[in-house]
Amino acid sequence: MSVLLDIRDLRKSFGGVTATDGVSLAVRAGELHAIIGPNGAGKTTLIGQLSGALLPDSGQILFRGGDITRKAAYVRARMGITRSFQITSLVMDMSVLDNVALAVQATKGHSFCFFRPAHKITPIRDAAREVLDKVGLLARAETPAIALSHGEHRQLEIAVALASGAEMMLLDEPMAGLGGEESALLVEFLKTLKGQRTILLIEHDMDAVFALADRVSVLVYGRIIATGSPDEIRANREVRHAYLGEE
Amino acid sequence: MGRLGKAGWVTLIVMLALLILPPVLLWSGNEFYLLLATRLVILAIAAVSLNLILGYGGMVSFGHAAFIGIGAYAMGIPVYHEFYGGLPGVASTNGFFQLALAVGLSALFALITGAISLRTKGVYFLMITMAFGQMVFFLFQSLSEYGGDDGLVIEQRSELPLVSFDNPLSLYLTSYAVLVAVMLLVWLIVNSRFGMVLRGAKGNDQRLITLGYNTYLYRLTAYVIAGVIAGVAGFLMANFASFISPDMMGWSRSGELMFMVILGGAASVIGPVLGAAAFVVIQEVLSSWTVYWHLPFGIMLILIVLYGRGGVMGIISGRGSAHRRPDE
Amino acid sequence: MDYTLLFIQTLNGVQLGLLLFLVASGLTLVFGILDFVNLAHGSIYMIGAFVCASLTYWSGNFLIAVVLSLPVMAVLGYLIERVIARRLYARDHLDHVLGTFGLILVMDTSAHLIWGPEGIAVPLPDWLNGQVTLFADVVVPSFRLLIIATGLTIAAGLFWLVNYTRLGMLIRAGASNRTMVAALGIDIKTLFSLVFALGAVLAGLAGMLVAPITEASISMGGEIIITAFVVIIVGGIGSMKGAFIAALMIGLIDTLGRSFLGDIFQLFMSQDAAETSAPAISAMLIYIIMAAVLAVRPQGLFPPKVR
Repeated sequence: MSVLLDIRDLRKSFGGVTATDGVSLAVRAGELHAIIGPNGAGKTTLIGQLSGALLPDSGQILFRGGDITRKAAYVRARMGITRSFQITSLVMDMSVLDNVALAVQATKGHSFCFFRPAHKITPIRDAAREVLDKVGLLARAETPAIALSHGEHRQLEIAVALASGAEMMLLDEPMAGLGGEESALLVEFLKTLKGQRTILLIEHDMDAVFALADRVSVLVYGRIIATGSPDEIRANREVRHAYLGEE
Repeated sequence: MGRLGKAGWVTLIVMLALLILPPVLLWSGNEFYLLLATRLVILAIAAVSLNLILGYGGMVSFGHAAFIGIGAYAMGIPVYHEFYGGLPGVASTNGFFQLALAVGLSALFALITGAISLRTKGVYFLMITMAFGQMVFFLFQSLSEYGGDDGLVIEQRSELPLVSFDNPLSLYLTSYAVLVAVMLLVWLIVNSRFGMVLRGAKGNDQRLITLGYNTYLYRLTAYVIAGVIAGVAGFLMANFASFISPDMMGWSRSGELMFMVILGGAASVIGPVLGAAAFVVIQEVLSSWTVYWHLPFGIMLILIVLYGRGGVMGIISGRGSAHRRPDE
Repeated sequence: MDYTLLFIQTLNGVQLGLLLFLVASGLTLVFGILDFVNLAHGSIYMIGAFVCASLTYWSGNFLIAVVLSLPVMAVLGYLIERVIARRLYARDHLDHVLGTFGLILVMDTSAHLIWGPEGIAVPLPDWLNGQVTLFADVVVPSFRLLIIATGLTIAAGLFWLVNYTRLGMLIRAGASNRTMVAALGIDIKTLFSLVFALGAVLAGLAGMLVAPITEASISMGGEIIITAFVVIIVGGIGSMKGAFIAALMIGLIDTLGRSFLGDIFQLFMSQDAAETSAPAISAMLIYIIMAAVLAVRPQGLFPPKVR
């Protein structure tokens, strides 16, 4: 498999605290690659640098072989990298459907179209409904996003990432705060995406990670201490010592 | 639009009243009310444009009156040169020329100041727009040829085919038509794909950027459109008052525009029109009591902010979310 | 070039800069610590000038009037904080802006009712009203030197207060972490009232110092507040050091621009063109500087570290 996202020796520190300490990682096209690690390991900081919200101090990020290290967040999104947020990040005063429609609309060229009512552009609306149907939110399409439950927010967060059509999805703890049943549903859903999208998944829920991931990397104190198949990671002594052993 | 919502009915009734009442009052011998309505309608145009960026785009601009000033001087300066010589390239009483100048200069000013101020957010944006507004104020104040602080009497109103601005009813109906056109334009814009992005970026900028939108460009575009509309309002205001002065664009004028938008209800197209109406009526009633009408007006403003349902933002969203601080 | 004039105008620029600092420091304290946008800060400055003018006529001495006016300003600031500002801290900035905009209307109209529409001149005692010969043919009014000395003393005092005292520590902690300060059992409400009152005293003092030069007038508040905004935008909102440097910078640029821009323009354009464009450009100069600074550093020259 070819490498889609190539991270080379990425470093980032905040006023003396090193959050990312020489991370190198190759995410292959089509795989679901999970990153696990204790709190404060620098997982969200890493996602921030990959999505363009933060700039690394040094190192390189290649996407499809092209250097995107210094590209603006919106440019990366257009190239096909999107992210979800650990803390739900939606346009709360818009409807569920509008949230997804905005993501679909972003894929259809520019949006400097001033006169035609957006609600009447059926290809966008239909595509958005289709995505909502996939994640099981179609019945809530006209509800304002703010009125959704926490679980539904997480679903919508995934729907938005999905609707953006991005080849590469960076998912930052999509299961955060979900109950057992909701988590299981989301795991099943993410399974259906495998092979269609390349996913970099950050997650604390170990059951989910081991059920989903093709490969797992372990991030501790800003460094990747191991990468391998779920079985290899389970068996890795260093990982057990640094991380799994604590549970 | 098959069915009219509540806002639709309010819009219809208010706009019909504005179309019918002032001419009727004029014919029954109350020209004063027609003039009042003209001022109301012109201020409403500016308020509707401010609402495009404030209500729908979340850009709290405190310098919007500068555009009214630019539009007004773009109308007045050509007339001045037509009568007193100098600057032959600009001298004109042609309404189309003056309007084009008003639109062009407002757009240019919006583009330059918007490009700089939109790099910042929240309070910074507010203070910077305020400072740029004041810059224009001081610029015209320093131009002694055009009367400086004292302003300039406009010798002749704009010449346009078919309508004569010297006729108060013509001027009123023209302003009314412009208001309707502007409301329609803003309504179309906020419901278009562009408007979706603008409103989305107000709600969650980061999310929109992550989807691939360069939200800065969308905001800047909206800022320029709003500036141009306010410039047109300035052009009409100069024709209405036959007088221009830096006072038209002082920062209290910008504050009053903001008051109209927020009192009337941001994020609806008719809201600012209601706000402008409320402002003009309050001003008229209070100032008929006392020349110190700013005192009760100020107290009223403070009370609205302190005791309005969950603060001003609460009134806007109708959710009482006064404690939300979206800019932080 | 006329070096005597240059020297005197530089001194005037420093004086304007220090007065701006007095106003801007209060604004930046209140914004930096309370996260409160106070448009009415300029009106407090205006009230300071009028109160001092009245007390000067009552007591017959400007300095006594200043001493008596300062507690009046503190009370005014305290009242504004207790009655209005405190209820708005948790609100959106838009509420701050509209509420304090209303407050400006109330204060300006009240000043109009109490002191009338005309400005009031403030007489100085003879010993302050003279001139001092600094060297050769450089003569400056002694009162201006007093303003500069006062401004520098206050600036030094504020730096000491913010950087080396317990109150300053609380102030800085309050800015970065409100809940922490509250958790330490410090009465944050009283702290906030004190900060607000301090801001009012500083702005009022600036108004008192400027009154003998320009006279007390209602429009002075609106004029200074925008310039003070420019100062704190350029300096970085919430930064005392930024406010000081930017205030001096803006004061000097504005004063020197108004007196020398015409001469400078004449170096490369006709006298006519220079005479028309120089006043217009110098009126806009500080805003152009602001735009230039923001284009390079959107958060101002010295953005505070925490926030």
